[in-house]
Amino acid sequence: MRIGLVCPYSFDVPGGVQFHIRDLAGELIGRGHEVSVLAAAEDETPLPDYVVPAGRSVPIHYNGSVARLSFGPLAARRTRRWLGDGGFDLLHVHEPIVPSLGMLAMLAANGPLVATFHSAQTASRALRAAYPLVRASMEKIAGAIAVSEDARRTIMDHLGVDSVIIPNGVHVEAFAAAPPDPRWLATPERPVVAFLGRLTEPRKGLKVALAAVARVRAAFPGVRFVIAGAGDAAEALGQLGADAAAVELVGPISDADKAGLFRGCSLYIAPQLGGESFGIVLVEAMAAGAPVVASDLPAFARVLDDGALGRLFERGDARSLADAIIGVLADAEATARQVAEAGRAVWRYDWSNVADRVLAVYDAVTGS
Amino acid sequence: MGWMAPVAITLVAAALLVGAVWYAASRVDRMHRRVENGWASLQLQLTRRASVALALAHEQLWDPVTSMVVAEAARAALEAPPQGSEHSELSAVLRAATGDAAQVAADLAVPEREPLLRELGAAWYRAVLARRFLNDAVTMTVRLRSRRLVRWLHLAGRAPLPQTCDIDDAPSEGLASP
Repeated sequence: MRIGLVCPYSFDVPGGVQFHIRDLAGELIGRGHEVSVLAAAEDETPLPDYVVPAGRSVPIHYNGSVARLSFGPLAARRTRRWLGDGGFDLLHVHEPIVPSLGMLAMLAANGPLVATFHSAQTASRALRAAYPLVRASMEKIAGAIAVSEDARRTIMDHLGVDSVIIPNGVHVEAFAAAPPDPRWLATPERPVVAFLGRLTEPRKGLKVALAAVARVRAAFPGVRFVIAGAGDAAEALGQLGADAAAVELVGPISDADKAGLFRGCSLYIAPQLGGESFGIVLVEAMAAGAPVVASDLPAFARVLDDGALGRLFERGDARSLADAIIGVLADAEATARQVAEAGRAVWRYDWSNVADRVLAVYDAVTGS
Repeated sequence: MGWMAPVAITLVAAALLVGAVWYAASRVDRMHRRVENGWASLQLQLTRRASVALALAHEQLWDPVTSMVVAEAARAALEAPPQGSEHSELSAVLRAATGDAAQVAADLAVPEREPLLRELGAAWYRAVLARRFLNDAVTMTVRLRSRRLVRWLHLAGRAPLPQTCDIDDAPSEGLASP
């Protein structure tokens, strides 16, 4: 099958949707399909050979974060040319309600169309403004995929589109077999609590994590909080006083470093305050065998099977987070049981499984 | 010069109206095609599921009694339209026949049975997807056709209002899906 994938966000910067599309493309190519990815990217950015750059993107505030989107006459022209040259049997657009390449491709598309909705939030103001146009191109989607129950409900409520749930994929083996990184290797005296996420984005919950440091430190004086992610946190750290000594900022980290961190740390914390649709990082941590402590967002509760595969705490509550961390560190036996259970459960998110499901959607849409 | 303005306004308004009607008609047409494709795909996947079930019954995957019941239900489903209750019955029969995950796992270990059993799960899952997508298209079409512009100008022509497909295709507990 000739498959065209469209990524609305820029390949110049890392992000969940970009990784998902890269991995899906790799998986489809591995199964003998021809794949071309249209993505926002500078012409000079080094890209895999199946990616066609649609040109410069512009950082825009969208859905509570800053996204690099691609639009304008040049992007529209390149999108039409890519569609014309591609001769695709099937077009698979990601995040079709983001005003970028996906929307452009949908306006121009004529053949079988599949769309994946990643976000559980919709910028409803922008959506209402563009509504008639957007609604009409939604009608072209012959098969809609949502990455989570929350995303499915959102598009049902806002767009009246029903969808099937196919979660994001993870290469379980790559995380399960990665060597632990010696820089962040936990010891009984020096347990390591890992945090990942853009530091300047309030909804990622860095503040909650830092507010929990004092209480955890009182119980485990040697604890290290390893904070990974882009952004400046010096000011937030300055307010911690003596407890700042337990916090290490390591900046943005690579995929390999992330796996090494998860393999060696005592636990991974996800104190997000909202706006999460799925929680792929939780799955990655579980695949690497790291115990998970996450805020009780519906999306996280579902990934953690309501607390059977990790601990949930009250979102935004630093005290509740600290108690959960202490619980994981203190009760090794219960934690080991949860980790073993989680290690089995994550296989349903493995790409081998997820790609099978995506291909089933392609078959159902193309009638093959 | 005074007469030109009203004429120009009228012409622009007429052009806008024609554009809106053409646009609405093309949307209705597209939705009808989506519904049509949806039925075709559902028919294909249901036929595939019934053929695989029949092949498995011939392979004597199950005891003779179960095999006979599955074969009968599969034959009936092969001749039924996609909205036929025969498909619901085949679903119920297959759920009873493959409900035991441990038994299915044992059957999957038998080389002659493995590909057919996997195909049964795959065709079933595709049928579920095809029906979900079809019903979504039907709902959207009905919504679109209820709009005043579409109703008053009969933009849907003589095409009958599409119906959703309400067969029972709930999956089997024992069978892996994709």
